[in-house]
Amino acid sequence: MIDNISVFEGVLRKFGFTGPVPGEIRRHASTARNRILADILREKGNYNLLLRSSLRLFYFLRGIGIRITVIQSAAAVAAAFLITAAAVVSGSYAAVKIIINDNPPAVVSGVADKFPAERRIAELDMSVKRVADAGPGGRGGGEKAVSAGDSVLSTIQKSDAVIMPAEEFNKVDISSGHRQAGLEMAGDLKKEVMAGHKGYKVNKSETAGARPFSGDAVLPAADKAAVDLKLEKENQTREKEPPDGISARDGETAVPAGKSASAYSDDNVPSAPETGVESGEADKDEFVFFASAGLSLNIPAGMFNSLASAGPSLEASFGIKDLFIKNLNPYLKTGYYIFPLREDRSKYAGVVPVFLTAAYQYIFMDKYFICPEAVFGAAFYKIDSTELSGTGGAPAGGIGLAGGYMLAGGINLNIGLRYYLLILEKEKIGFLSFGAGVEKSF
Amino acid sequence: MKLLDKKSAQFSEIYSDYYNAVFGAVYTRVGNPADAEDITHEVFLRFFENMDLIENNRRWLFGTLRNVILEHYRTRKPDVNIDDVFQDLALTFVNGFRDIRIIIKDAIESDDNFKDEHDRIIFDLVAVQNCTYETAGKELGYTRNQVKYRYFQIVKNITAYLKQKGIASIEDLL
Repeated sequence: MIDNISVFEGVLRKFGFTGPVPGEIRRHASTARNRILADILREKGNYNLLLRSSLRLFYFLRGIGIRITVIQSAAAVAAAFLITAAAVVSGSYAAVKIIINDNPPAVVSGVADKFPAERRIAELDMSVKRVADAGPGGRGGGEKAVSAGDSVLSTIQKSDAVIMPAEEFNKVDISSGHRQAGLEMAGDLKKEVMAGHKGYKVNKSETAGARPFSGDAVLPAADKAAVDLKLEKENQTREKEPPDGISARDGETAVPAGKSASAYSDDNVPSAPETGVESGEADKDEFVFFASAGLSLNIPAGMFNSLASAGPSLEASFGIKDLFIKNLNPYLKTGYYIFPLREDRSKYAGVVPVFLTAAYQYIFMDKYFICPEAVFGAAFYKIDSTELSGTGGAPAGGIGLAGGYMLAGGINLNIGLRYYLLILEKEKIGFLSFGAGVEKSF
Repeated sequence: MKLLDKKSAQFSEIYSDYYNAVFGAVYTRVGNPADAEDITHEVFLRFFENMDLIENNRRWLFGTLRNVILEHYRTRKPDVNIDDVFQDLALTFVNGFRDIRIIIKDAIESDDNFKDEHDRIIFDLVAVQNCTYETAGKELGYTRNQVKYRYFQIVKNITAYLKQKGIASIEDLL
């Protein structure tokens, strides 16, 4: 055949049908190509950012042997943009959430004004933070640095320290940093008082009825009553006893607030015990399963693209939510993928994979999620073209990114972009898969 | 404002398919890359304006290319003999194989020998402009093997066509 080609080209040359273009001219043409297109579209069409980005992807894919339309390219660019935007938003949201959890703001609100105990607890939280910033025992640097002991007390006095037994303190839902600071502060406070420090004065009018540092609590009387009432209510609703908490130094601790304000609010009774155990953890022994079904369009890549063109697939998945790690949702996926052969479009290459996919779900804005995925498994394939033919099983793998929207009733709508690679004996065949599906948890 | 103008998207695809074939064809006639660039620009500009009315993209582009080159020479190089630029007719008599050349030309022009427009572009790039399979593939979004396969099929079809027309062996034409 190659001889025939040479002869044929010789005939074309002889009869003057050829017009060779030198390599450097072709390179010049390539550099001018995008400029001319941009000029024409600017002058006559609509050369906006989306089209410009789509053309970049369009030319890139052409360069690696993947032929898609500009519209498909625009859809891919738009999807990539949305997924990126979703990732950035969810990442920012997660970061802000982490920062807020680590540095809870003082709750000084109408509710706090209404409930003096909560307000005091909230203010105390700030005091605890200042003490913590200043270092153990009230020493160290920082803007709010306190010096040699008495400042610890004065800071606490200003904010009406609430001292309570470790047992009660451990029931308060606060961040671990503040818990530690509270413990340290209580220890320092007790040491200072026991040493008869002059700077510490208990406001008798507010602490009437309380027993300062007698091993129980330092709390304004009215607030102590409110706290007791609250704890009593919680004990009534509590089904399990909390596990052992953090042991307090010298048997008593100061209570910082932040979250603790809510723990003492009549309007906001927590449903789970305030034990430091996250809500929902009690359900960890019960697995949540999910199943999904979907359709996808699969575009062969690389060498496989020269044999076959894009084809559809039906897919089904079954998995477990939150297995071992929260938000880790491994699932098994199978399906039937067909790719029409280019040399004869009545023939198809078929792939039936069994993939184990590890998907980690990031949830943002309550209803949306994205999942990076890693895929391992095997696939049964059948290809019958002149360049590559065979039937059998092959190891396979892939990566992907899925995203979606959570509806009510455990139903999710999802879309995904994945790349799969099958390692055959002689060749590797890969394809891009754009999929959409519905998932149901049960 | 439209997010994505369908006409612009469609034009971009056709432009990307034909650009190299058109540029190469212009260059072989004008011999100057800068002029070839201007003429190619003008051809595709006119194509965009008339896109809705065009049925056969290739035929329209190569027909317009000829007109634009003529205009180019008339305005910028009036001293050049246009017949020398489009030398097909002259060659017919110079070679002395008028009938055979006409048969080959028919074979090249016949739609039956090409599966689709992409086959024609591959033929223009590989056979006419001596482009490698790889370069042609990159321009069109095909792999080297795809281009090679398609080109082999085209040559097979044309050879069969020539056989039908009484040219049993193309080696005899050399």
